[in-house]
Amino acid sequence: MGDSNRLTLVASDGGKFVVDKEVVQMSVLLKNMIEDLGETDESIPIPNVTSPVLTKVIEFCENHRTDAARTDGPNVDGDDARMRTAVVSDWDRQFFDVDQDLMFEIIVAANYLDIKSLVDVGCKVVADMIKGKSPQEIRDLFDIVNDFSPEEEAALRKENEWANDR
Amino acid sequence: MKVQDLNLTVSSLHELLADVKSQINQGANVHRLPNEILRLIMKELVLRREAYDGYELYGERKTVDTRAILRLTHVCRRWRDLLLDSPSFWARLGCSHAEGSLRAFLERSGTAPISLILSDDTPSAEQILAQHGWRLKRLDLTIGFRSDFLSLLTISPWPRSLECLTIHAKATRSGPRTSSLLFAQPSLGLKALALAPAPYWLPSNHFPALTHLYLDGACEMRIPNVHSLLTLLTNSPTLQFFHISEGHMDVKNDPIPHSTPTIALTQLRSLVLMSCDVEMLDILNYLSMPRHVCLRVHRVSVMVSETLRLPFLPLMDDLEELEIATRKSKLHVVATEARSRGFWLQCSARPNASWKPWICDTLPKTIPLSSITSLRVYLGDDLWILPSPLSHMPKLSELRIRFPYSHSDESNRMLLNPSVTADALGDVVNQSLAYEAQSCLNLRLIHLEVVLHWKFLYTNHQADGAADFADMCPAILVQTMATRAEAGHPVAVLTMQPVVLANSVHSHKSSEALMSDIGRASVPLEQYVEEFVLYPVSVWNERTTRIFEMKSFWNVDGAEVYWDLHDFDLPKYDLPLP
Repeated sequence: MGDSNRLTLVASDGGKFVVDKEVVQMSVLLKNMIEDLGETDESIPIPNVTSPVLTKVIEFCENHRTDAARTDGPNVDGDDARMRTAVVSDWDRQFFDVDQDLMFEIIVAANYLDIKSLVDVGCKVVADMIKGKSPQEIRDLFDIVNDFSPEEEAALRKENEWANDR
Repeated sequence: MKVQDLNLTVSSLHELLADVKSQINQGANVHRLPNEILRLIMKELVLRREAYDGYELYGERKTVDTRAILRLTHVCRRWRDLLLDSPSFWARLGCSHAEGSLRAFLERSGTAPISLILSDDTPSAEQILAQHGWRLKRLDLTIGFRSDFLSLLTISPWPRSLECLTIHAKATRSGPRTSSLLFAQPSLGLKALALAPAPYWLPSNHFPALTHLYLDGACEMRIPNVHSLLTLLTNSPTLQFFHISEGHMDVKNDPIPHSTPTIALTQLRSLVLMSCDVEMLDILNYLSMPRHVCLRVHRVSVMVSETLRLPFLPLMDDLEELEIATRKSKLHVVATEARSRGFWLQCSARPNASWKPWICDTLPKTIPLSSITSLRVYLGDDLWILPSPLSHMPKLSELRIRFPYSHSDESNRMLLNPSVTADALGDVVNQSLAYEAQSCLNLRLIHLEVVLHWKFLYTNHQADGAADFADMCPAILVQTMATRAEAGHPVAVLTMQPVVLANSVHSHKSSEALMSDIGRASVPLEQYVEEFVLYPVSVWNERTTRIFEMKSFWNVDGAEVYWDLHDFDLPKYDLPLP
């Protein structure tokens, strides 16, 4: 019988991670699975998350394990209030100082695993990257192509006049 | 082939090309994010609080910044579709919008509850309210100089979704507004109401859900009559945050009737009376507040200190920590339960008045001092007040005193007042704490924050710096400690914090040497206490002090949900220190 306070997560590429149950319970998905499984030595497969991403997710959960805003804490009133109160620390910014591929994979994984604090911080970091940029600068930032037709472009030009309302 | 057909073909090709580009965009790494995540990111950008000026109480020309949402809609089709499919993102509007923009925002917001910034001189204001008033969530309204009739408030039916109403009524040049037009319905579901400045009337409706009430009398405005204020409070039983600024009452012609029943505000968390007449404090006599409230009375002016009368309030019942700072005409009194609630009073009397009678006679009747365990005090020239409040504090275990050290040598040009010396402190401490006085038997810690006029001391006595501080530890202070120690009630910990004024930092004497001098002078004390600590010299300026530090709970959580409080409305210590 292994340590009942720890369990093994298996990433989509077979990578195994032994972690504290307390840490992974920041994930609502995993918390529910643990409750359903009860005391068991079985490992939990995470089919949608690769080892590098899971490593980062576990790193975040380890660092935030003592945060007050846990899934079993007081219910925060909806996404609005939660996002408003989410604070991005220096550590969080450092954590997301990775290439964009990995950054978005972490957010997608956090969404899949239902780790609200990681989703919130990730969204705020991305929002900060976008803030104040023009549409073309945003496209350049994320490698997005301008896919508007000429007719749509004409409508957008008209909307640009509204921006001067202030 | 006809030109028309060619145009159609070109148009189809453009559309096809755009579709191909949209397909390419699906591979962009940001587009791995599902719509719900992308929407959260956009919400963070679009619904930023600072993009909606309605949160500012005092802005006269309030606007809504629409640039963020427009930029985002112009990035690509997916982003545009997502934003257009999110009505709430378009539901913040301002009267400064151009006609086309206003129409588009209203249309795109669908049936989402709207936040609207309006001025009564906006041409389409009444029309907008007539068509969309039913879905108002927030209305921030500015009433101009000449406007006397709040036609905008004839919204009918009153929007059930309206949570927050802010009215900024500029002062009229032709005297007070005479309109008594109230909101049409007898009962309104508002959660937040701000009248800043108040339009010279207060509504008499019932507000069964009101949690935030902000009233500003402004310079030339007055609360119309005390009855209307008391009625408003009576009609707001769920109030949690009540803030009144510049409240003035005509007590001669409009006093509070003695028959006024007590108004129960059982959910109140914060009551702030800011820059009000001292007469406004009389309303405290008619309010029943819970013990957990934070009561802040700030910048009150009185002609004579005796006119400052405060009722005994339940919250005062078991407060543990007390701060008193007074200097000349200014008084600062803060009493707290240490963690979450308390009473704050900051006021000034006519020049050269003394707060001594108030502290000695009225304070013990206002705050039960018997539960106080920690006292922090600065008494300026009135150090001799100290024994009086101490005599009411049997549970006191910590005493922190700030005092200006003036050398007793008459050649010292910085001598502030002959009574304010270490000798004087010694006398006062002896009178208060010597065992024979049977006072403060639980006292275990004394902290002395000594403000040194360092530069001038050493300028005059460069030859023998150590000698300058010999009188810092007067014999009578040593005697007091000895008496208590011998009687079995020793002061366990004695700490000392030398403080120098910012302009003394560049003195030729190093802080290490200064500490050494003070340490030598204090040696006789050490044998009578278990622990003597001399902290390194700290530099004092107007904002930082050691013993007076505002507790964070005065920024009551939730107070700024609907409005950003102006800097002068926020809790901030304004201590009467030298």
